[in-house]
Amino acid sequence: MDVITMSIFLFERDNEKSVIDNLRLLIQMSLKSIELLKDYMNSKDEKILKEIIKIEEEGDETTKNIRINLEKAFLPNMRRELSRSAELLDETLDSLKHAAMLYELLKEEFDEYLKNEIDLVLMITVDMFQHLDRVLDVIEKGGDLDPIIKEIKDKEKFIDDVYQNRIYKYLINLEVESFWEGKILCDFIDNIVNISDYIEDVADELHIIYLHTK
Amino acid sequence: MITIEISINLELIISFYLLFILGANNVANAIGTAYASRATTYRNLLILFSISVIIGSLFAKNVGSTVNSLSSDALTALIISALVMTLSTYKKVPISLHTVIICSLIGLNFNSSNLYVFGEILLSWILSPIIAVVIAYILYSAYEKIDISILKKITMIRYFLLISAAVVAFNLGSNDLPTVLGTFTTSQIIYIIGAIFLCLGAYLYGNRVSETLSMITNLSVSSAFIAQLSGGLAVTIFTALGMPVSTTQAIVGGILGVGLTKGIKTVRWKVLKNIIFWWVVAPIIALIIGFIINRMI
Repeated sequence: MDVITMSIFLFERDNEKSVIDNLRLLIQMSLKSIELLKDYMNSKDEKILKEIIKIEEEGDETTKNIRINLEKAFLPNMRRELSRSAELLDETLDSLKHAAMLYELLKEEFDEYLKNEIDLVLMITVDMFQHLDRVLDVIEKGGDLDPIIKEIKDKEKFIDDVYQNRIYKYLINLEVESFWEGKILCDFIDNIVNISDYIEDVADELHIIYLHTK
Repeated sequence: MITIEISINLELIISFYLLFILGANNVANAIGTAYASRATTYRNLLILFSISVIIGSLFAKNVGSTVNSLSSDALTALIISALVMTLSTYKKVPISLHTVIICSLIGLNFNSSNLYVFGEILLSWILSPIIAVVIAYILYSAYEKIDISILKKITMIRYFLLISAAVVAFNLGSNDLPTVLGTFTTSQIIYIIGAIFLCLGAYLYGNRVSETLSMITNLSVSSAFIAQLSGGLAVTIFTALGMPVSTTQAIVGGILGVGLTKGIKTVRWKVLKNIIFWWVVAPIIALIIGFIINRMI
């Protein structure tokens, strides 16, 4: 038994490792993009916007690499979920890019209340990404996934709650200069809030993989 | 200098044809799951398949002798088998080659000593799927208790996929092959040449493996390989006892065993009843055909 266990430990599967590493890379890119978006909201510096766009393009390349590696990695009944996970993480980078580009079009800065609410949503989103990284840890090194998944779901529910009961209600009474100003503002907030949905979906997909091997 | 003389006759031609079909039909059973899971390359899997079949043929004597002891009119039995197998492949009715060959041999030569051996073989046919059920139940229950990371579990599954592919291929060489060739010979050299024909069928019609791919992607790979490995191990036990048994029937037992670990309600009894129906009906038909031909001759 010891010999078998040893050989399992020694047998390195580069393809699986590469898929996990690239998923981690997408998470790191999203975290970096969130930090840049926060900076951009304070400075509206063109360079920062370009950097966010560049990260999104790199994300496309990383997603493509995951799909290529998946041809040879993992078991057949896991590939769909992993490919979907990569796709969803790529969507988060798209959302962040679109949010930044929409922010560029906004003529007025956010008032204090709205700014604080968006900061709160982004802070919880960062936390959710860190939990997602822990999910990958469990896939790689073992452990219990259920409590991490539960935390991700709770946080997503909290963001939904902030959006529905605080941001949305505030927006209804907000006076805007034009239709487009209002639309851009709403689209910006949607892009920010949607990221937590994507993270929850990724967690669900990875949870299915976990259940496949049970 | 050693000279090996092989006289080419009709029995040899028909049996090599049967082995060729056997290889083409069974390569997917042996390596399909491992290929779909990318345990290794297709080329490596075919090499593993061929080596296992040829090694299996070196252990074919036991089963070959049992089949040979039943044989009186090998040519007629082989012609019946070739016709029935061609027809069943065309009509897509799942009939085991073992069943057809053994029952037509018995039907053609109906006597008390044959009936005793037939009784033993019949018992093996009943017991082999039951043993596979037990092995699969134990293996799957043990597998569920293994607490390692997903990546390590995948690596472990890949090792076992290769082992189970090798076991099924070994059984083809050590059990299926002598069931065909044992009808007229127990020669080791003929068994090895037969193994080469079996591998040839696998190489030339290996594209069938891709057909199983679509099925496997919807299956739990761990359940599939445990069912396959359990069926394979059950057949290996009966090979050691010299009994010709069907790998397909044993694998069905393996699937049932895995299903039972999830609870008796998860088993689709209607499907199982249909499978068992053919297991019972096919030997009776082959027996009757053999018996009628025997009377006519």
